[in-house]
Amino acid sequence: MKVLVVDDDEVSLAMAEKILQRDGYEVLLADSGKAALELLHQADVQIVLTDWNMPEMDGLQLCQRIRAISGVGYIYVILVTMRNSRQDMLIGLTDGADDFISKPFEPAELLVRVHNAERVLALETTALTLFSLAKLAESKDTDTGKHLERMREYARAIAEHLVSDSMPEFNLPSRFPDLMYQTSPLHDIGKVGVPDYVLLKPGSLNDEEWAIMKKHAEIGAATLDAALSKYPNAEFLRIARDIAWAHHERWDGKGYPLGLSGEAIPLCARIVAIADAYDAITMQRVYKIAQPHAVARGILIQESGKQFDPRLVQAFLDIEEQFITIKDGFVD
Amino acid sequence: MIPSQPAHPPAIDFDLLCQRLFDDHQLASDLVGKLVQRLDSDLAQIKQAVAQEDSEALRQAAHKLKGSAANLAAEPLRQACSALEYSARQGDANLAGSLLEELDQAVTGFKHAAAQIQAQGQVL
Repeated sequence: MKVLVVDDDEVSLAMAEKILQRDGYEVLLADSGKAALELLHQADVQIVLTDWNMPEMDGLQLCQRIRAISGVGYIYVILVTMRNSRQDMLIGLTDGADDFISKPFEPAELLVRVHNAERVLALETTALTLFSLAKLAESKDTDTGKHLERMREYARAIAEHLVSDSMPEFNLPSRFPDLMYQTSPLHDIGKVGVPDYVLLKPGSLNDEEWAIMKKHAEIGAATLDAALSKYPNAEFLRIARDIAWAHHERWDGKGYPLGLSGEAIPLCARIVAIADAYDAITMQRVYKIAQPHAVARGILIQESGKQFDPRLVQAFLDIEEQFITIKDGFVD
Repeated sequence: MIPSQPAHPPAIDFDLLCQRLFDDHQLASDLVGKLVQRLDSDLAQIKQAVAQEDSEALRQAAHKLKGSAANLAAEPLRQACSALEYSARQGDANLAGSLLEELDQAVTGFKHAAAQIQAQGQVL
């Protein structure tokens, strides 16, 4: 793991380098914010340890510049400061710093901070792994192409609209769109539990096969529920589980597996139902041609209050331009 | 009873510095040497800022030297710089002027301690 240390004081640089190298980190040094930005463009750095008080570009400004770089992956920034006031920390956090450490470095403390950085960065990798696993489950199915990429975009777009001022009645936390983005790709992971002779059957399914196919909702939910029972406070897992079991429920109660209706169906699953349907209609499959946006729109309106939550259909209509952009942006 | 602090902390607490560097005495000694090389020009910058009553320049210069001194466990030098930084933040030119003597003493003490450390290093 590479750590970039930024300080105008060479004594500080040398000390940080010594401590970090001893623990096996690859250390890059920069004596100014400008030099740091140049190194960031060249090297694949994930952790930056920067002094706050530097001439020209200070640590806060560097932090803002780093946040403005939209490169690969997240860069974890630790601000080094001799100040300790709460006010300063608030300023630093607002400007995008992830953590603070005070000078002079205590080796053990510096290493703990950097280890924390690694752990946080690993979580990001975990999210990526989850998506890869969802893709793997999906790949067993026929050629669904970028279905999951579009799905999570649709789900997030609707969620963002619900969080926005235009639909205050939902009263959702601002993290909701991100949660939908992370969890919606897992909606069909239960399909790995459906035997191939059903999942991959070219023709239409008979009643028995259809009953097996429908099991994917419960299989996926059970898998995620097992994880949730170990981490009961993991909001992410709870939402993913609810999506997995309930994304085939219908607003009018005619869906499966439970036949719940209206708001008894978790909101996350009602959102995914719309995203899933829109994508199924507008994309080509081996057994059907792709329909234009207008057709999908018509079906969603027609099914409003039947298959779909009417307020979510309204949300879809409010932002339908975004759906078109997403659809055209992720072509199979 | 308040635990007794040494009335005069050493110019450089070399043991503490070595601890921070996993007992790499050579590196500790080198880092002290680095600051010695820079010290006269840092001191000149601070004096110039005081003479010109440029409190922002004084704040910057004092802050930087304070950081190096803190890293090197040079407590008297750190304190002298810290006081100067405070005077700069207050925009108190009189106070800044009165603190220069303390800084001079701290710098002299630092150089003396640094010379001893380097001499010991050569013996070892």
